[in-house]
Amino acid sequence: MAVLRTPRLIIGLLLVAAGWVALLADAIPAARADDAPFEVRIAIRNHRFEPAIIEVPADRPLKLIVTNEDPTPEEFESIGLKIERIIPGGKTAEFLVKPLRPNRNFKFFGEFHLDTAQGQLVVKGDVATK
Amino acid sequence: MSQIALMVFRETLEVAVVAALLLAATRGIPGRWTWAIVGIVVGIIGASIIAVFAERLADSVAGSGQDVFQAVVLLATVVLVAWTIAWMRTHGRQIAARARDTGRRIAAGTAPRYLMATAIAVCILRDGTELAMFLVGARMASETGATSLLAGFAIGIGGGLAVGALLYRGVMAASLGHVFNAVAALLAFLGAGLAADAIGKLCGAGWLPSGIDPLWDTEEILSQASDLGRFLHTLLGYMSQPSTAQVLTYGATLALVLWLGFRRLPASIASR
Repeated sequence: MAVLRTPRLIIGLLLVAAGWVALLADAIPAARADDAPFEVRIAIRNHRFEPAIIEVPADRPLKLIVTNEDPTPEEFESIGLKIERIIPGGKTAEFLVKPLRPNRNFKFFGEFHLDTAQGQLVVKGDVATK
Repeated sequence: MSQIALMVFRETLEVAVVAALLLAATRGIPGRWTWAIVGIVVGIIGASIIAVFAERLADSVAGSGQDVFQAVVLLATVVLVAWTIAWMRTHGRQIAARARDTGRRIAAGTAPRYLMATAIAVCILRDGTELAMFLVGARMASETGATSLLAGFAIGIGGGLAVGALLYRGVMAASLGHVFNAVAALLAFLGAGLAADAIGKLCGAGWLPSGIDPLWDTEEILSQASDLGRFLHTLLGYMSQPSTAQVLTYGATLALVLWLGFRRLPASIASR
């Protein structure tokens, strides 16, 4: 068994390495998209997002500028966008989001006020004109 | 008040699940309860200190300070969990064999109690910072009085601890004599979920490529933000919109920790 184990471990590691190489290869075309990011401004007011539903172009990098206008801190979180950050009262946070594929919705929410702080990023179907 | 209780419960739950499983995994190690408490106290103190400096932490590292901090803490937890499992796999039998004699059990090794305590402290550091920020906010919003804040806090903590205790009891009872196998498997899934979380944060901060993202989308079927989704995320690492990088990390960590927990030992160690 011990003889079999080492090769199996090596094959496993190689598979993981191959996966990461594939990821890096995928990242290069993304880096080539040199358009200026599409800016999205979101305000948090009375524990609500304004605007709460935002249409954004597909295949373009985004820059989310989230301003917490409340005096209390809020945690801005989106599972799909892999964002989770506490924004203290009166502060602004910026998030760079890589180009998203069309026809998708990404929910975001304020973890500290889940009953009111709910929003959605709607990625439009048509490819953005460059 | 109910909102405060719910928030405190959510943040406590993750710590409670990690602590319950680690305490079950380190059964037989003398002094594990004492060290668990040490871990809890250190974690609470640390989280309070970080909460005070949270603003500055967020401003450093070009605004992604929190992401990096969270990722480092998550990865540290994974390493500690994996290390505990690896240690218990090699030494667990010796500990069990000397179960009646505390002195000889101490001689067999006490390393896991420090690993377990550190893992608990680190978990509290992460969730406690969030909780502290939330509570400061709730106190600032003057609609919440000190009494209802305290009541909500107590209910939330109590609920989290109750779930942890149930999980601990359940794991210990259900797996009769094979506690370690059941716990090691659960911890492998939990660790894989934490590692995938950490990679997600590093991808989100732009430090790592994420590959196809999301690889699948089950947010509409079972939202990761729902209560069930959160629980499954904590316990098994359920992800509703994972990227390729997260799925790869999940698989690799799961395989590694399962191997650490179930690997065949050389006869010399197993029989010693």
